[in-house]
Amino acid sequence: MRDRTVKIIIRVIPVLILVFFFLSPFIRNGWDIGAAVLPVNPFLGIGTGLLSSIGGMVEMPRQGPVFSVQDSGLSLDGSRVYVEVMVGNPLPLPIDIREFSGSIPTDGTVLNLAMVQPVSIPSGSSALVRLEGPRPQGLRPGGLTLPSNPKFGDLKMTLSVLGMEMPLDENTIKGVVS
Amino acid sequence: MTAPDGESLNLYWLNFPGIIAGIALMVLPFLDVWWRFTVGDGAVVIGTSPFHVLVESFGIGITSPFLASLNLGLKIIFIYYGLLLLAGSVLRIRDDRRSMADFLVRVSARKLPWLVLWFLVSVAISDVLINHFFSLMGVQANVPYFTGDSVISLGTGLIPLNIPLTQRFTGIFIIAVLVSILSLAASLYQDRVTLVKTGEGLRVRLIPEQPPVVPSPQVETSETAGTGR
Repeated sequence: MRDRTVKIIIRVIPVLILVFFFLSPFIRNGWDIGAAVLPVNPFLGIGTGLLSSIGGMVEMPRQGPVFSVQDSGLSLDGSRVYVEVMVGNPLPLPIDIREFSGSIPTDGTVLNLAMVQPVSIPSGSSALVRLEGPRPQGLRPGGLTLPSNPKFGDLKMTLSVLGMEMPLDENTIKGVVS
Repeated sequence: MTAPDGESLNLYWLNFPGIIAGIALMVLPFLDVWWRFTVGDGAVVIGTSPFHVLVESFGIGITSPFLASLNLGLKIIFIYYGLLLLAGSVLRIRDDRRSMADFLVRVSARKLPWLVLWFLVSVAISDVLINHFFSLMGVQANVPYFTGDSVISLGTGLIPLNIPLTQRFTGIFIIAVLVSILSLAASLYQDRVTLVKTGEGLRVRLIPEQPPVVPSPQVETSETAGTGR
């Protein structure tokens, strides 16, 4: 008889625990189902975080110039051209530039440039991106003069915010380098 | 208690798989999540197990009071079942408590396998809902079931956006499956088999349905009277 009672108690204990922990958030929140089930502010995290980053990435190319040429010249052996571009990150999140290439017309010739290595830019900050390309045939020695905001042609840029990639091209990035 | 081969080997009546599974069952709720769903490189991370639900968006943790409470309840319940399994496996050594020992193992040993099964069904349902959610949004997405990578492409006007999605079972889930198998083994071991030390070493033996009837040495029958047996 005693064993039978113990066995019943052993079986009932988990049920009581489950019922208690099932009901306790409702009791604590005055039977407000929304407050008990939903996170404190479900849109604080996923909503604002995701939307602001996607929105920011989408808005960024439309906001105006986010990069400017800082330096340009020829490599030591004179076979390659380099351009250093300062790229700003207006987003509240770090940005990775995974791809950046384009062509700049200068001195009657065209420079075809591509990023040497991916660059990370902290939130609200800027970073120098080095673009390099072969020296065009027509470029006279010491004749590389570029405006601060040159017109890029065939522009390709891939931005990444926490792994979410935004491939941009000339059409999508219009306005940035006008 | 004596082993079926007649040797007095009390320790061999312990339910060893049950002891290990019982301890593992008590530790399991304190380990990490079993399944992780990631958007981007950690832009949004959803990690779940019956004992934890972790939602992080851009480093901000999001907690549902109801789920947190339910997780805590399950944690306590499974620690309790671990204790029962351990107690039943040890108590098996005592003849007078054998019925209670069997009951404790019976009550506790099959709970984790059911929980693992329930968890798998939940993950499958989640994947169905995720795919349904994207199709409602008009987004081309084929999120694989249970584990795998996929990329969804959101077109926001002119600007395309590729969002990688990753889902994986963690090593802790594998541990949970192994503990489940061990729990089931403990249940079988408790009922039917035992470890016995024989001349050839340790052997697994089936426990006979009926205990062997051994005539009491004090009672002498007419045949044995006077024979000295």
